[in-house]
Amino acid sequence: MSYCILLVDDSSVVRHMVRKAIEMSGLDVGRIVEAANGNEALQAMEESWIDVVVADINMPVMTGAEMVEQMVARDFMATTPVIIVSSEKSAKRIEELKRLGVKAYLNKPFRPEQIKQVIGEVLRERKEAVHA
Amino acid sequence: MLELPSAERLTEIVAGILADATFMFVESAETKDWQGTELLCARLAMEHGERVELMLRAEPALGPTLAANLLGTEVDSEEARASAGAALGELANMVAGALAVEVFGHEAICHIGIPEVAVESTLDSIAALAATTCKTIVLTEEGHHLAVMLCAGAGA
Repeated sequence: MSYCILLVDDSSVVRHMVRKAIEMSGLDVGRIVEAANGNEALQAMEESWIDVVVADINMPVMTGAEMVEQMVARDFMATTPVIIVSSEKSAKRIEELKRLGVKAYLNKPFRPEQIKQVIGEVLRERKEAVHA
Repeated sequence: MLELPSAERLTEIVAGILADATFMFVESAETKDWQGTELLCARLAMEHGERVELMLRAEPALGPTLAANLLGTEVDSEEARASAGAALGELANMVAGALAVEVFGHEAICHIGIPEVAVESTLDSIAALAATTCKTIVLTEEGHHLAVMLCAGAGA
């Protein structure tokens, strides 16, 4: 089964970088959907099944943290794992995001193999949870 | 008043991010006379009680090089030219993430703004910074210059 990944970042450069890293990763990814902020991401999740969300924190309209809060409040999105990819390094910020339900946190700049590893682990957990 | 990182530390941070993110290896340069030159500028603010503003000012030719290295494409491609501003904005975002913990500490949840990118004249930028305390460094990569300014204070 191929996975569907949603990339959420207001920077087209970052979306391109993450997309390229995923495409080169060898992960079984069927479709990559893009959104420029949390609000667009919620709309994309309402329209189609998403296996994992890879999102930035600081975005206009709706931030990554606000998006995660909205997802938790909506039953069918509550279990969709979110990976935050951000330049923010504050230990407290990372702790706060994990408390909100974020599965993993990756600092920018990242190496393509780090994206592969993090998404691979989250997808594996997701698959085990769905089959449990 | 917040204590800004030293010029040496600022250089170390920016050079490290450029090497990791873009495989560009920069070295410190003398202050460059940019009078009358239009520069590609990215600026964003970091706030946690106090406000610090970061500005990156690049010679226009550096933008497509940055974009090409971030995107893994050719420097003379349409994609690299079109993404030059966004690439400098993203570099500012990465630098701000590293500087925020230097300035405010690892325990602070500081607000990092969204980069604003524009082509500006040197004189406009200097006028805007007249009332602030700034640390400025100039870096060069194969003859292309990048100035990094970190400002705190009343005008920041």
